[in-house]
Amino acid sequence: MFKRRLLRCSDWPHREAIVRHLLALVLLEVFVCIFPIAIVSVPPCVAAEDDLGFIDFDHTVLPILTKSGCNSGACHGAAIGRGGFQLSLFGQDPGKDFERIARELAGRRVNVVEPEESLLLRKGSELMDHGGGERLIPDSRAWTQVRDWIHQGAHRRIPGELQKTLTGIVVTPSRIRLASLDSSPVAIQVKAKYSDGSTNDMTELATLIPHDPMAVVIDHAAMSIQPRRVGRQVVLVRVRDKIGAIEIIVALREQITSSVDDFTSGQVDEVQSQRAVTPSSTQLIDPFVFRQLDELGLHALPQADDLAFLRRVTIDLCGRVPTVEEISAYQLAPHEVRRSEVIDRLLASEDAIDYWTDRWMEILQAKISDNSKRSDASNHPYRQHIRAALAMGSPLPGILTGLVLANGSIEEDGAVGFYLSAKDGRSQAELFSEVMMGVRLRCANCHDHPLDHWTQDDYHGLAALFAGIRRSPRVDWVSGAANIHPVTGEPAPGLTLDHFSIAPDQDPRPALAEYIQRQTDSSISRAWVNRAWFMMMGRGLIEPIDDLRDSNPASHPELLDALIVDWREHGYDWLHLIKSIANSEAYGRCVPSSVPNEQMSVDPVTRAVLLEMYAAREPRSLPSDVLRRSIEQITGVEIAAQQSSVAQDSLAGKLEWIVGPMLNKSLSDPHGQVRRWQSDTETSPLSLVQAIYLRCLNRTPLESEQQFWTEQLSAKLQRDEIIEDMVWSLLTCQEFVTNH
Amino acid sequence: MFTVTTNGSTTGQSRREFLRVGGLASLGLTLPQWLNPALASTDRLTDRRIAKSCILVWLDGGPSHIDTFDPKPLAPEEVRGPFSSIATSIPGVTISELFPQMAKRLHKCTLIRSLTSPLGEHNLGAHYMLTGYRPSEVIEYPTWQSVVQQHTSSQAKATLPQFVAVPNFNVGGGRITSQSFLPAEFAPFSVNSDPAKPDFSVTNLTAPENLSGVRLQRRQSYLQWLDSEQKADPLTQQAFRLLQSNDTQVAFDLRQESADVRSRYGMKSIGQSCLLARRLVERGVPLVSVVDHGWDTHADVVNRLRDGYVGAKVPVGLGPSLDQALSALIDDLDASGLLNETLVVVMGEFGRTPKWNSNGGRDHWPRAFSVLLAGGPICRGSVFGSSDRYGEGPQSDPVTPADLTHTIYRALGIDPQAMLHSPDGRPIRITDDTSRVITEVFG
Repeated sequence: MFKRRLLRCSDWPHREAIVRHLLALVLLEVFVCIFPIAIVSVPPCVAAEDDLGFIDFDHTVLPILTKSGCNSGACHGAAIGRGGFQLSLFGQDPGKDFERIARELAGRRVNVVEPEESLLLRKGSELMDHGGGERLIPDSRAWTQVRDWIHQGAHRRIPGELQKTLTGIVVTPSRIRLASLDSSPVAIQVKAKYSDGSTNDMTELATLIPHDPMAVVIDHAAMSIQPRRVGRQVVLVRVRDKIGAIEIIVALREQITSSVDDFTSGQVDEVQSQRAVTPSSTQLIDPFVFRQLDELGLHALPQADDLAFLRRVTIDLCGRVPTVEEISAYQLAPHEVRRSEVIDRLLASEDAIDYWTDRWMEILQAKISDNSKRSDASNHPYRQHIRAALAMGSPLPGILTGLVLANGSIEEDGAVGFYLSAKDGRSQAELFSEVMMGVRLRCANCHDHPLDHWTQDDYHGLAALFAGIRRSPRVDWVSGAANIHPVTGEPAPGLTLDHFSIAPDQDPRPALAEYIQRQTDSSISRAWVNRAWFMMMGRGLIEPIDDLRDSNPASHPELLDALIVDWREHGYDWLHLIKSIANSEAYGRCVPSSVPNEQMSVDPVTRAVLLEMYAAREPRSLPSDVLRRSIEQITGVEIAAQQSSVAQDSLAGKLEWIVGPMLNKSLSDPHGQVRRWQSDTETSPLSLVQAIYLRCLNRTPLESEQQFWTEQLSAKLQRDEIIEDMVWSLLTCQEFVTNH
Repeated sequence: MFTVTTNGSTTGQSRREFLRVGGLASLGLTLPQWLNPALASTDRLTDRRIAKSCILVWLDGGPSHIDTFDPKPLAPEEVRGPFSSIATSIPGVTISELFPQMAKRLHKCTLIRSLTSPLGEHNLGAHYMLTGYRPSEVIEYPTWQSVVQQHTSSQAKATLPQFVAVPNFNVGGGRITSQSFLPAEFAPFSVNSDPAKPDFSVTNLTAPENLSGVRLQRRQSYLQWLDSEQKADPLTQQAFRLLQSNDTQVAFDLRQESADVRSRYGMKSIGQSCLLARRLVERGVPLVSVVDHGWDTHADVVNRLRDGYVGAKVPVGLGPSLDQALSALIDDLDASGLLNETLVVVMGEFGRTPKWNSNGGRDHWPRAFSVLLAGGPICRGSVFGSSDRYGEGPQSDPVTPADLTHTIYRALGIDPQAMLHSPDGRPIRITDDTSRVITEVFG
């Protein structure tokens, strides 16, 4: 022990720094002079300290620092540290953190002789100026433990003992069901698991982080949680860099409405009859949804009325609103099969294939517009490749392996678009993990993933596999390229994400294809089923959909599993998955606003729970390509490609909608639909209003609407302008730009 | 008190440095003021002097510092370049002969001559200057103007757009979107038309004749009737207010200015853009960016910076045009008192090589360059920092783009510690951790 201190003294780079420890040094030298022999013979470990309870750096000090927030990304855990002091994020790298705390700055962060004078404690407790404020309260248990650790000599581990590593944590309970908000707080227990198989109670050093801090009260002293809001809440549990999750479900004490079942309206009677129809996919999805609703004490809202359903499903499956002809055909079909028939008909159409191809190109983050020679992105070979696969119902693993195995020019093999969509090995690795598994690997470029098990070695190992991909613009693979690991400064060894080593002279693409085959049943299916669900329902079973990880539990885990199994049994055909979801009751429910207010008073919290648990349909904005196609179909006028400002989310976009040519040209086109309505003076104003409503909003106007618009259209003057302004307002209003 | 000399360092006085200079604390010295210039500046920058609006004049391509505001008259010819230097209204300070009007008004401005950045590529340099962050693989930062808009936004009440780009926000190679991950409402409103053109008008700002007046009202009332149950959308409301407001048309209508005024600004794009910026700021638009293209002068500097074309009798190149525009802008803002509450920032992505190249031009040079500031809390008549004798690097008081951004936030009353949240939920401070406020530029 003393020998080490002396060695360290000679390492001090700054002479001034020595002054600080002058007293300690003098004492030390006196001591060394008097008892030189005794010192050499004393073993480094002092037995008495063991009896006091040896404080371990990895398993006590670091978790304390994590719990105190010292090594968070906003503080010293940032990639460049903070204020000249850098720690690994949440203590992912204990060895390096030990170096920095106990060795860096010539060891001035710890003062073994006077532990309380250590920079670590003085700064941490803000006795010295500290940008991060007071993190360790003097004389608190955490502060005392850190002080004692320093006092014991600031060792990394118990001398002579093998270093065990923290492998994970077990949280109990991890699923909590409460009947009401009146329940008493739930105590949480957290156990650490170590590499040697041992466990240890770490409840005291765990941090509880609710997804929504307003919804859950955390008592860190008692280590208990108490929800403040009904519905489902998730609380993350962190010990050092290990993460677990707790799901809490609190039932709604009162039924949100006793009147949902008494709901009386002609349309709803019709709808209720729909519930008798139970296609097989209803059995697949709805029992899980209902089970969750029962636990919450929630009633589902009824099915949307028939025309609302037709509009919704046409938008979701084909990316446009239904035509007048489709509406009449639909209304002619028998009630019992209307919905499932229209789903089959839409999915068999070219429009559906085109629409889903576009969505896939988004999922694949395809960069096809950069290709300057091809002005028309819809004919791009990458798009054509994906379109053909979807049209044939190719299985997902086949499509994905086709992408990683791609080779040659884009004309020879459209799948090389997957490689042309990234610019180098690292971005390809990120693209790969995001596309295939909905995993954000990006964090692990600079540090291990803070909420998942991905490490920098995983990231750079995968990037190493893609390092040899050439995009010139022919895609092929050459050996000899490397991805330099930022930590080692050496070429990172090539690794698949499930840790199969790939030799540097081996084309990695077949190995990656095998990886996809291995992972299809688990992580890959999970990500793609979640995506399909998100696209159809407006939210993922796991949210956000591009951030799948162990610490992010699904809202309906059994449903997700059941969908994966069913999808596998149906050959991983994308459109089968879409069809299953479209046929479920959960998909067909009405939006909260369609229920008359007097029959249902729903506070915002309950509304949020209704939507989150699929008791009601969530209204969504139409994407700009859907808006464009729908406007073109309604007005009968093609919108020029350069008129790209379909998005309404900026001031310029709003102005474009109101006075710009995008919509206005389509309304005033002499060959367009509006002109036909204008020149039709035979039809009564009422029929005209009904025709316009059916074509624009796909429904019949309410009585108040009929009255308002017939009054407007009966005006003798400016009838043409009034019709144009009416159609303009119908195509601009919230109802039109929303899928409900 | 310590005098801080940070020669060769780009981070200024950080705690890291404090730690490095070592155990002064152990000698019983505490240095809170030394550590925290930001604290000291809080006292100096009172609310009264915080700027309410900001005009950014962006010299796209990277203006040569030596040929503009940091001449080196004593350097050899291949550094000095073809232009001589002239005295300014700040005694002892000279600038390039291309800016005779600004020379007379330099006592109203502060010149920083010690900007330094490692990034000599247009997109990267522009990103650093406009966001205060060095570009990262992981995230694209929003520009400080968009951040300021987000932190001061009063879209709900405003009629005019709160951030206007004249003529657009195509800067630094065009890859930068100002709002980045912030919501689209914090993107600049581009006028998309050259104010110097006789037919200048802003796209969709005026309803076509057949849609004006009664029809616009009808559309608005129909839409309100249809959306009566929805929450009012502030952007739609603003759009209708804007289209129906006389003020809007007036704000963007340069014909309202007399011929005298227009020619005082110069009939070039930069001149009329600055005039438009002045009109907008006068009418309460807090953020305007004016982009002047063509400063990437790798060749043919005499023509491009001074003459404008071969054989010009009166020089009409980038320099004289900017000189005319800026001096008119400063004059007008000062005369109306608006200069006290309007921060003017004139900059590009980097400087240019001290040595003349074989094409009669200068190439990219980020190690030392200049930025001109005026208005609001900015000191009237000072020069901060200096470059070395050939303008190769900072000689004193180096300022990073991050420091500059930090200082701009302070000048506009934005808390530099304010946090943004990236799309994946990472908290991001609006200023880089290592940046500091340059209190010396505050008068």
